[in-house]
Amino acid sequence: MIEFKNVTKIYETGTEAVHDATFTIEKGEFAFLVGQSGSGKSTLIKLILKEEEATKGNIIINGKDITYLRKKRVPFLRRSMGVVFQDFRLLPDKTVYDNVAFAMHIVRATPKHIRRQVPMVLSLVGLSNKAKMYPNELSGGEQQRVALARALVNNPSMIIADEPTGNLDPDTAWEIMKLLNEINARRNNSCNGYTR
Amino acid sequence: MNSFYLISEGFKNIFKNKKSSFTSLITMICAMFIFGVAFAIGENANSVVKQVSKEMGLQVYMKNDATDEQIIKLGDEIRDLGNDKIATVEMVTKQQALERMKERFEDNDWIFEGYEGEDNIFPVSYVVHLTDLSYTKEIESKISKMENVDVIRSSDETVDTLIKLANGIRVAIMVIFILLILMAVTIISNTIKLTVHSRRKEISIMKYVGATNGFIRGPFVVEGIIIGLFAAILTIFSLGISYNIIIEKLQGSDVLQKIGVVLLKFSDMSQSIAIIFLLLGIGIGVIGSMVSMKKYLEV
Repeated sequence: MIEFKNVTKIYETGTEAVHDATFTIEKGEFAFLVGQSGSGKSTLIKLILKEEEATKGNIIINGKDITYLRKKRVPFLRRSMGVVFQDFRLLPDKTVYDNVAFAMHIVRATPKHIRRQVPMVLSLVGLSNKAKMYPNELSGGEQQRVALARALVNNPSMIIADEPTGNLDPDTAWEIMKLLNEINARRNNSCNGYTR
Repeated sequence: MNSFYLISEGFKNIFKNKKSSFTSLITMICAMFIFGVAFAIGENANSVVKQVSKEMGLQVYMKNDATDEQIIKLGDEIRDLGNDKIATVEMVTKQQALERMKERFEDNDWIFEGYEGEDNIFPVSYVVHLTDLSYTKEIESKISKMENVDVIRSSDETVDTLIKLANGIRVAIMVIFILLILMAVTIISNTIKLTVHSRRKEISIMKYVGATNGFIRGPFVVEGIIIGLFAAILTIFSLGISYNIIIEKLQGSDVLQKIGVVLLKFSDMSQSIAIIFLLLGIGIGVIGSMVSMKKYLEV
């Protein structure tokens, strides 16, 4: 599902962030990418999201080589994956519900579909009772669960999480990891990449 | 359904960023108002020129020995110069010319006694009215080449001055128009840039979730259009009210009444002003938001 073939990324500054990476993550797999800070984990994620271009090699996602993907098609590539970030990246002036619904508006889902789907994912991450609250009224763990709900809501074929527990205390971090594991078990058709 | 989402987001943006929306609105109103004033002056100048040109015409005097046939032939030739330039051609017979002179001298019309009938010294003439004063020169030279034409009189200087004035005003309005559009686009795009900058985080999140550029741009463009529309409507009303007040005062003044010129009512030009303003408002809104978004869409 995600395939790297001899991928190298050298930034314009000359830093080589990824060197000759070759690996495959299959459908249903729960993969972790572990390494010291500065070892290129985030760069790898940026390459998958096509936020950065690989200097060398090929990246194949869902059977498609995205190396030469046109800029216009990038949004559609990103829709096939749910992304969770270390810093949550929620919209501060939208409620929990709207933060999740927002991701569905982007893919032009019908209002009916949105009304059905959002409460479902919110209950999946255990936030049904906080739907009307704003991100700054939530704890870090809760905010990350909102981000997770947003990543899940469009039923992406893969979930990408860049240090999803990096900003959380160990207990909350453990909760999030359990949640991720649970989701992975339920949705055995997806593949998930995590860095931590 | 999705356009509904875009429009409602656009409205929300406006209220979220009251200050910058207000700045944009005021700027656009000012720019449009100044343009509106220039436009009104221009329209009035045009209408005055038209009114005056209706009054004025060329007087074509025929040679005294022209026969009736030649006289009629000349009239036809003048008419043949074309409907688009010639408004009316009117013949003034010897008899009519004499009577007009008599009228002019009212109490002293005895001086024309003895010039009746065969002894009438006044030549036959044609009064030619043009559709537009700017054709004066051209038509004059064409007629002077025709047979049996003695002299042509036109109020050259007045005509020239009027034409120059009208053209000058037209140029000035175009310059003002272009400057104001540039100014408005710059200021609007700057204010929108501020909004966009303050929301760059939101924009980058949208990009990560897979939003297309069009989708991200949508609410901003809608915002621009709404502000443009409001500015247009407010300007039309304020311009209309102030115009009517000023015109009422001007029209009552002695000078205008003496010249016998009627100024335009606001309703005469409100339609074209409304069309121009709505297009301008929407156009500036769209262009302004497009220009300001460009940089932030690269993620």
